[in-house]
Amino acid sequence: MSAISGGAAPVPVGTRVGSKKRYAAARQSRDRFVRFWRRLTQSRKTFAGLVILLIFLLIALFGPWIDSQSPSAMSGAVLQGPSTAHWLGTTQTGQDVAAQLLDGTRFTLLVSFGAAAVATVIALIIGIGGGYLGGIGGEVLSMLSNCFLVIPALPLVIVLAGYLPNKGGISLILVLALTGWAWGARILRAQTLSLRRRDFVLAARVAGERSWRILFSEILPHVMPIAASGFVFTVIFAIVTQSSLAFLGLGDVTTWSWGTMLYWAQNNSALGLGAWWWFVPPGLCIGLVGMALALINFGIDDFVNPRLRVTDLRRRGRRAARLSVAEVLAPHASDSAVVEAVGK
Amino acid sequence: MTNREPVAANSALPRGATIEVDPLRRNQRPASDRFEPLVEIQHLTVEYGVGAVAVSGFDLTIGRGEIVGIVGESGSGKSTLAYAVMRLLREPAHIREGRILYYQGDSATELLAVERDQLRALRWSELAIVFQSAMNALNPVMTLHAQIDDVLRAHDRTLTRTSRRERGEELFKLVGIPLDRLRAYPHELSGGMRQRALIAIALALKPNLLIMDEPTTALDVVTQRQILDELLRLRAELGFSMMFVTHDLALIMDIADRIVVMYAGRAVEAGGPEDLLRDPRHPYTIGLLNSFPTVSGPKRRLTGIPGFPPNIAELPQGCAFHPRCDRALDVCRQQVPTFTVEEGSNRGVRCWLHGASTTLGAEASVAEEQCEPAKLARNQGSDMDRGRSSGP
Amino acid sequence: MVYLLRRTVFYVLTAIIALSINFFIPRLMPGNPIDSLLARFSGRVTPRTLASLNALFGLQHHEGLWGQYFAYWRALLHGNLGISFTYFPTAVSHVIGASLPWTLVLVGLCTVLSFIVGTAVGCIVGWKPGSFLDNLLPLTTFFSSIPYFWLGLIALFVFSGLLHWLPVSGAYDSSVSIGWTWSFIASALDHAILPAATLVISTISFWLLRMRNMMVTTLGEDYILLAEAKGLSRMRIMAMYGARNAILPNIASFAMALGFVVTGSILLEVVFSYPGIGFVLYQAVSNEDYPLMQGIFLVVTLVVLLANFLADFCYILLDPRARDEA
Repeated sequence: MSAISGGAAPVPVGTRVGSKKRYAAARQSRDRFVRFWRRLTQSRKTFAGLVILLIFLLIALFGPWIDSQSPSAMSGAVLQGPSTAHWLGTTQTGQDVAAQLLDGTRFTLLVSFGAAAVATVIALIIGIGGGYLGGIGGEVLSMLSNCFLVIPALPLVIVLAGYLPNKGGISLILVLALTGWAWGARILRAQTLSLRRRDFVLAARVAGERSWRILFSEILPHVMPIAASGFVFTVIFAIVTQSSLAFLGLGDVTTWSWGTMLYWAQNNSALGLGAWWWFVPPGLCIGLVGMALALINFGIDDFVNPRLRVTDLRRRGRRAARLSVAEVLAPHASDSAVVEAVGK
Repeated sequence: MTNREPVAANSALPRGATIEVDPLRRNQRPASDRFEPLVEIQHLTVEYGVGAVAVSGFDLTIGRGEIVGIVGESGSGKSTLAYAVMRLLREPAHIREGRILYYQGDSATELLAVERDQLRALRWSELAIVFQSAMNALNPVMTLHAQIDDVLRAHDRTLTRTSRRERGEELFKLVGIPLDRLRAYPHELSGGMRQRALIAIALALKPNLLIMDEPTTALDVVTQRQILDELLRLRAELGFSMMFVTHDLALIMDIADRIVVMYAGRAVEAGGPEDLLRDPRHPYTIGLLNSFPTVSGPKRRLTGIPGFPPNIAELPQGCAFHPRCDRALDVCRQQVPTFTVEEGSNRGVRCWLHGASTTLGAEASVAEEQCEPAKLARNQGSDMDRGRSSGP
Repeated sequence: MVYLLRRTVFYVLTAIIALSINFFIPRLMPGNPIDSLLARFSGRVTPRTLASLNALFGLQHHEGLWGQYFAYWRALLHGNLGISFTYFPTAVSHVIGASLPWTLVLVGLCTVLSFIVGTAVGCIVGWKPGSFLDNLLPLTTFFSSIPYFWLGLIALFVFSGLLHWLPVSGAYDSSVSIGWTWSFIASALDHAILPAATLVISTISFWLLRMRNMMVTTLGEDYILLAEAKGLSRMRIMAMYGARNAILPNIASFAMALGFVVTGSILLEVVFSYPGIGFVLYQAVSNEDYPLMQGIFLVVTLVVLLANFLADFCYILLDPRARDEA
């Protein structure tokens, strides 16, 4: 990171910033991304997380081709355990559980990633805006995100969803985004605040760079790992909250998702009937995707907070040798400051 | 203040005293007729992970009451050396070889071999350390008194609460902090005060060796000066030795009895401050001297040193300094020069330009054999477990 | 003190915002579900009840938004949350009053227990990164990602359905009456074991992981190194220098965690048919009982704010820097 902060030397006031510098900035941010990616895939944990997530994404894309049965088609084979005809058994109305699971993956992931994307955009605007603006405006934005952080999300989502006349994917995404952006905004604000005081940002300001250019070329690339971590966290939040809503019957119960599967299983008392193949798989999928995302977050955490990396160093002596001593001995002061600020 | 005749702490130290750094300060050195060793570092080698050697075959003896300065750029291994003496190295750093002897009366203790309990007893009562940043070194959630109190209690269970409080007040008086600040938390003090508090904590058990890891680097020049004066006065009063690690050659010239210049984990030159100032031999030392202006020394052109210190994981073959050295010979690129000690003095230099090949001290040559880079490379991959056992 | 005052102001403001959200949601939603709903009850409620519902849900459009807003606050300050349709004609405040204690005891105790145990274990795991326990960490992420209610379902299936060890639903046996009798307490405990265990297992890994990470970060601090150099005992370093500092951000992040706990326990109560506030919320949702839904949102928010305030208070006690913050 120090390599980047060294990049922006003070430029005399009024100097026009040419395309050369713009090019250099682009290359810097690309190098940064490459390093970020390398760090992510280096860790075994993160790699495992990426693989699991990839499998689910493939299922979401090609699910219907894997199992051609319709998830809603009823049949005479009622409440049967797993067999070759029905990999995961059937429901009380003879529907194929595996088909529902495959079909539900698409909606579940679409809504979760969509909601997380919208929430991250809101978080970026409010978090970076609040951190960079400072003053009254910044205080108000910070106050707003803190408010939304302490207001319990699910009751709010339930009340919102309860009043919604249309419970389709888009409105679900909006409701989840509206209740899930605050955490990301808070950590982004903390990071922006610490970046604002760093030399290269100060240098850019002294050089008379426009605010929006500083935001896009100096601040945004540096908050990306934090934003990524916030995104991943929000996806977990969205999956769990969405499933909870569906489980309560507050979603669209005719669209297949992991949550609606659990809703129907509960409503038809699958538990009492001992039909474990009905309610175990959807929950397991939620847990697995959540675990994959959490594992990816481990990697991002390691990147943001180098001290956590020590564990990996111990396991890989050879790699440790390639790091410079300074990197190991002196954890980046600014980064730990972020961690503290985030904690607060 | 005592006003004795200047007496060398190390009898072998030649004291020509033509270029006096500060005669007043010199006078405060406690009298001692002969050189009495306190700590002897023998051929210390510290490695990060596998293959990155931060300190390599380092030898140094610190006498009682002596101030030894260790000077070098960041990454030269000087802080690693300080941590190694306290056995504070963390993974992936570990001691590959060497001994550190601590002399108590007639017997000596091998610091690297003592068990945890014995080490705990030795720490602070015999050796104490002062870190660079007091802000980070003080526990933010404990009052200063509590941080003095716990070290007193840990080492002497018989002390009463009152006597511990009195000791705390005594220490604060010693370093010049108002007594009411004992109840303060670290964040409530100014930078200089915090550094003083850190020194007070270090002196709590009257240690014989004080290791200073850039203790004044984070401070402004005036405060730095005050604290250095304070340290010299305390040394005169209490008679402890100091191993003073810094990157600031000017500063260390002012207070040290003896200076070791480090480069890429090796001692490249050693000698008294006057020797180094008047007659620097290693091109690196010359470069360092040319990087800052001196008030009392002869006029020089400020040139600095071209290039950057090497990555210790990828040290150049031969003398580590040769890529930056304008006088490098062919042999410099191939072989690491030995550390050559001048007959009858404590001056030494590790440079092919100064007879490294001809006047080999017997011990030095044997020591040198053991840390050939080629050998280190051959051992790669097999030492990860050794690090675990020798770390603190 | 300044810090505490600032936090108080913050929570009061947040409460006002939350209650205002509560006010605006039914009015901003397309269509008016309440109109049609109230029409169903119009013959059955007294004019006075109708008036209070009007105040809370703004049916008298001629009054103007601001007039409605003040009428809403007036009703709230009188503790009037309207009438529940599900439990008609019981007042919402009464329904909530009957169910809240169950939730407070179950969720409150479990959260505190989970925090303490998780933090303690995280502290130990973080003390020696790379140890055996550290390798179990990926597993804990699984437990923190699965919805609590699903874990509850599995627990019910195994321990009640298959093994018949524990009761399936409710908070106490219907044959015993509520009171400080041994039979009641035993029955309540018997019914609480499964939901409590599920809640603790689901939440503990969150605290464990956070504490472990903070501990690892803290152990890199110079003051830990200094404590080691001082020759202090390992226990003292771990407790007073490590954990004592590492726990601070954990307490500060209590707010975020509490949101998850509330979410989880609402659904957990549904699964276990535990007569707490989450179960009642489920009933309200199923019956489109808007007054009850909103009343519960309001009460849950206030309780969460109060819990956060308590966490802040603990933070001030533990961090001298927060005390002096201007």
